[in-house]
Amino acid sequence: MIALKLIFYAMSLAIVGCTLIVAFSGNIVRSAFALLGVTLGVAGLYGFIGSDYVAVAQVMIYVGGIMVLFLFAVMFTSRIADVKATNRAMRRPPAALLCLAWLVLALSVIWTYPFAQSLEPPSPTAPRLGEALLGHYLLPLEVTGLLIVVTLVGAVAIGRFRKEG
Amino acid sequence: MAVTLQEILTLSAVLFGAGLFVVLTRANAIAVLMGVELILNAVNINFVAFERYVHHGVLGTLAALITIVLAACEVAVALAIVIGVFRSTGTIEIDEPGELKG
Repeated sequence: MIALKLIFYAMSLAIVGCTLIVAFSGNIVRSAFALLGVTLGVAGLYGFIGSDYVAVAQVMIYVGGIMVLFLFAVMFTSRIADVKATNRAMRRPPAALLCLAWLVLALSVIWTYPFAQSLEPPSPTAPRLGEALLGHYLLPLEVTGLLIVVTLVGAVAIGRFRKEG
Repeated sequence: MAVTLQEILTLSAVLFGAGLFVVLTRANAIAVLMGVELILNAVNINFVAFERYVHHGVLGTLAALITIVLAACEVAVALAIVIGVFRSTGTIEIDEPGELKG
């Protein structure tokens, strides 16, 4: 049991460390790779608390799709040669104040509210999920699929846009 | 002593705060989008954790999956817009003087 705790804390440390690199690094390529570390760490966390399907989906969509898009956009837009000024930051003190206020509020709520918690023993979630998605939650599934089609067509249309003349 | 719900929620709160910080402070539009991704990840952790610890159904997983898909859609469109803006103005700094000013 203490080993579980240690694994969780190591994972949290990795996630928070990568998050801090995303927040404070002056090089946007480094930020992008740290975001890759965050998403991998979060996928590990999903597996750790027994949500296997979401962990696999996280790896496939975030690591395989979104991060590739991010790296592509970074390489495409910022002049990689001058890494000095690719990732400027502004108005840090007020933002830090706001985030600290958020942390104090959230942590005070989390650690005082009496959650009736009991960890479900891990079991494969895919069968239950499939039944729910093709049964009672069919409409959200279809709406999401429609949204993906519209989004991809829209993204292609925006990306193909050329200024006339 | 197993990992408690409070510890997972604390991790997600830290992730959300850092994402908020990134969104508020970064000048580069792509970096702002990275902050949005951090926030979405924090929310997803909460969905899954509450399902595993409190609700015991499939609703948290469903919400997390739909959020992941929405994040992918959002990034695809936003990065297409960012690249379009870069092509037409040569910069993606969000505090540069805008062209849309009337």
